[in-house]
Amino acid sequence: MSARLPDIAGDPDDPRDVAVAWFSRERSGEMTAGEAAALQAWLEADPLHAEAYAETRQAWGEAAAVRADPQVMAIREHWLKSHARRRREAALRSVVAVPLKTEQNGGGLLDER
Amino acid sequence: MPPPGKPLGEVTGHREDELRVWMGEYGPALRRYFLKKVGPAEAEDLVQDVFVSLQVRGCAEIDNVEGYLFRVAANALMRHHKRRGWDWAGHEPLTDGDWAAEDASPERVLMGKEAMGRVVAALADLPPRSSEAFFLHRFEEMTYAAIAARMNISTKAVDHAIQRALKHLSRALEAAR
Repeated sequence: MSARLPDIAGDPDDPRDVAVAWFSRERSGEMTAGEAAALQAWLEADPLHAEAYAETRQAWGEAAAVRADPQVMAIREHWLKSHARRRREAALRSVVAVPLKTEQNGGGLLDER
Repeated sequence: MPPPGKPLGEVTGHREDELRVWMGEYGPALRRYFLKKVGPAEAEDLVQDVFVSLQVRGCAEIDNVEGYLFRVAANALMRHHKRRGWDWAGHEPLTDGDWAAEDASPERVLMGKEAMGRVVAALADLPPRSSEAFFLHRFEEMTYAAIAARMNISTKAVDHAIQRALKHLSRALEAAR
């Protein structure tokens, strides 16, 4: 059997941190049968564990309830567009990389800033 | 960084508010539809295309939302394939199954205004990396692997970013109980 606990970003001694780590592991779609059994054992080990896990589930569910809130929509748009922006920048870099390479010291198109 | 928490209704028109609601309702279904046909980056562009046409047209005058969105989505995909020089033959229409049941979640009905305000505030308050990873996973339904590729970080870093977001959200709600 593999590790008894998932990879925890926070404090391994805080059931709430362990709960979000288990939940995220489930969401990753990579949870093994061994891990699922370990999660079950962890949930049954202490009522605080089950409570922390239920709270995490609730937070996840409540986030869905605000998916169309204007402020949430603005942040969603921001992250969607930031990707397009990053891609445009990367594309631009790949285009300007050619003249920069061929003109080495001959006053390239872009100066280093 | 997430944009500042300005009440958008005050700075944008009514039409734009309505558009945001539509994006929330139908964005995930459109994304799923496009993802069956094209890669993730192209699917994002096509989803944006659909909402841009919607913005131009104005949502208020449309009676049958899903029928209209289907036509716009199919046209966007056709233009995309034409640009690529593909043969437009094997397209399937959007079906009811593409419209996610989750979007009409019981939470949305049951949650009070105050509770929803707290969730929104907690989401708006996330640090950038947690915010990006969590939003892409929760709302745009991207996998950890897709988010990792997009953000140019490891899946483990995505996992940690989402853990931090969940913890933040969960504690904000706990504090309010």
